[in-house]
Amino acid sequence: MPIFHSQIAAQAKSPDGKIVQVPPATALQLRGPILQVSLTIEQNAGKGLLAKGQTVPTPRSGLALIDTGASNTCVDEQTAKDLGLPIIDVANMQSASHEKHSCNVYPVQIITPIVTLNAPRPMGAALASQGLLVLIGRDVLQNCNLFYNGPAGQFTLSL
Amino acid sequence: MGSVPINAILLVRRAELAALETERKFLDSHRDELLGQYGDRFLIIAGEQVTGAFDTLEQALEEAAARHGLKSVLIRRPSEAQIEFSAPALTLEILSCQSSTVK
Repeated sequence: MPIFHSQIAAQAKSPDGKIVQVPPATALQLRGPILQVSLTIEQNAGKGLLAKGQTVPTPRSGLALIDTGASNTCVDEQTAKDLGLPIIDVANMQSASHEKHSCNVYPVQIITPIVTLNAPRPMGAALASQGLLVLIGRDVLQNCNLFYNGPAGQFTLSL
Repeated sequence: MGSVPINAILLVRRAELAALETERKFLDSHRDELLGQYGDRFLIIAGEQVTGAFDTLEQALEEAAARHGLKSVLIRRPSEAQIEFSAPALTLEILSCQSSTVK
């Protein structure tokens, strides 16, 4: 069973301008459970492209945030466009405070340091402006165990 | 610096929202017929044509890429409604993992 375990490390500037280490518990609280990932076309779609004699888009790297509040996984819309990924559906994003709006659905695979996550139909959203490439939602988490150790500033994700 | 006219922004947004509009309209208006013909299989719809029907999403994705390359095509079961999802922190733009105090 693949297990990803991480302790969030961070630095900050003290009032006198010195760089100081932030305690892991505070770093995890402020940054959330983040991990480095790569994003490319879903592997079966990649096989199909190769069969057609086309090249598979080069993966892009960035940060993923695990968001247990998100029902579905989202990927950065601009990155999906830059990779030339095809749109395979359109979804509606629900909101209590904003007007419902449409999002493109892209076939992607999310490669983490330990495992490739299967997110069958993730939505495109403006994530880059928030420092993210991927938002990992409950459609992926339904196949995982997530252990959030706040006091230690650690989290563990296993499949 | 020149400003972008609001109409231009609206046109771009409208164009973006129109993704797979023909395919989605075709599926909505032929749902019963497609259900009868293909059952609950994943359909690949390009324009107003079904170009494949598969038992799994993975098979449909592979075949869609083999036939259409990186062209956008609709892949959905005829019984499925449009996907609805919620991500409150994303909607409220409060996701940022970059703090002003922590790097």
